[in-house]
Amino acid sequence: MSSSQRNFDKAEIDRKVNDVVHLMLIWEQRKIPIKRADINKHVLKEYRHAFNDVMKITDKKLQKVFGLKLLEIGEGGKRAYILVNMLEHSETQQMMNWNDNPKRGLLFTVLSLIFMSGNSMTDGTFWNALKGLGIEKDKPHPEFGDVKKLITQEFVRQWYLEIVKLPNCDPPQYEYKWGLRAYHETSKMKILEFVTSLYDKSSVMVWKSQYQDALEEQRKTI
Amino acid sequence: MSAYKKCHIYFLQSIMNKTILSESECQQIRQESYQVSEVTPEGNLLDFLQVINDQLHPFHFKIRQSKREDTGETVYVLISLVDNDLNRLVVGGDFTRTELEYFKKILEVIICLSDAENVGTASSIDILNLADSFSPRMSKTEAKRLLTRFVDERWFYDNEGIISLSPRCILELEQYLSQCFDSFVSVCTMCSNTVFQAQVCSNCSARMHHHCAKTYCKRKTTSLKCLSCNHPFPHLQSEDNGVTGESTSSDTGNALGSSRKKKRTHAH
Repeated sequence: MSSSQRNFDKAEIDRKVNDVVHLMLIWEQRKIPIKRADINKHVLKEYRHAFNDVMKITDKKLQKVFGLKLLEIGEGGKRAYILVNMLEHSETQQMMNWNDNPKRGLLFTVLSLIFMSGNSMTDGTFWNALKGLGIEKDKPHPEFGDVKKLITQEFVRQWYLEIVKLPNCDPPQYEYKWGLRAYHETSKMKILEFVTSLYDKSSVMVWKSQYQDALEEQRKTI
Repeated sequence: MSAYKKCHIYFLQSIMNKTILSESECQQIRQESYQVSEVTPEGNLLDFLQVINDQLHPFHFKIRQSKREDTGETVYVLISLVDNDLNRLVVGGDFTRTELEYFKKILEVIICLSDAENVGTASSIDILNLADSFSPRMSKTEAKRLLTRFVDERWFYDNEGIISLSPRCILELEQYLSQCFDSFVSVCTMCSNTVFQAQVCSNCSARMHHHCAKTYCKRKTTSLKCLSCNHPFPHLQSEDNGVTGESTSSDTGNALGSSRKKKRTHAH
């Protein structure tokens, strides 16, 4: 391959990278993972052989310009990508903006409930707890509308929550857990800090077992 | 060219979340961005935005300065510079084909069917009633949910039941709108930008933005004329379309380049 041909390819790859970045940011608005097949179909096309190289450079550019990180989720044929925020936001600051983003407020409440209950809750316990906060499964909420759909579909689709069917249960029972995106965009410690401020407690250490749990997670990520 | 720093990334993420920011929101977020990233503030907002736009350019995005047609206030909009047709809503918005059709119908009602009193707007009641004749059939609840979603995603503004096009809609779907609604799309006789919500000359039907009319009235207090045909325009209102907003000085050339050509093949 002549050097000019190599340069042409490099320029073309660079263009493809920029288009992938563009596509991922557009797709990110839905907060649904984008699959390799989507990237190949919409952008790479005849350059699909360069997928891995393109994604490496795409990740770098996303981090440098947008402060977002590529995260690969799922396995084998179900592999897909989401964008995760690398910047540290003061969680309490963000949360207090409930008017700005009520859905996010609800999400943090849900994540808090699950974490404080030991990282998982059965659907019965979960909805009872929400009922105590004025949110009912089958009643339209003035702010969120169909809460059941929002929590069991939208949040799950966005990988903030994971809802798993428990085996050998009749009638069927479900387990509510944090989704992969939740683990990457926030942390147990941050959620604990949120709950602490909400309950106006002096320190996160008030919650003994949850504090240990959060500390353990912190140690693992360093 | 100034260096691209963490403060710029913070700002960029904020405008990515909200798509449209008012002038004061921009200033506030810019200040917060400096604080949070511990960078010393320097320069003005336009310089700050230019640094970001230089980084955004290869990825076909741009932060554009524009004016809301309903209030006349200056806003900053993050727009995509490519794929400026409705496919945008399918790829990025996760809308179904039916929902897309409904979006098109809303555009049609606002652009083509608005009455003389309220050019470039439509009532939410009329828009929701569209669901009745829609096929496949759409319930009112569904239509309401959809309309709310379109407003939340900043395609339309809802001013107490009056629906109008947002700057995001006008700028991003520019190509689509001028192709699809051709004869219904005109430019303001004052600022030469595309105009939907307007005051209309009774003689030649030339249009002027409400905020441009306001500026015109300030400069020229007597014998107001249509800028296109010189026909007297005595009822030219100096008030915005009933919606109060910050009054802004007229467009001066700005670094972000509000476009001034009538027909464009793509936003720049």
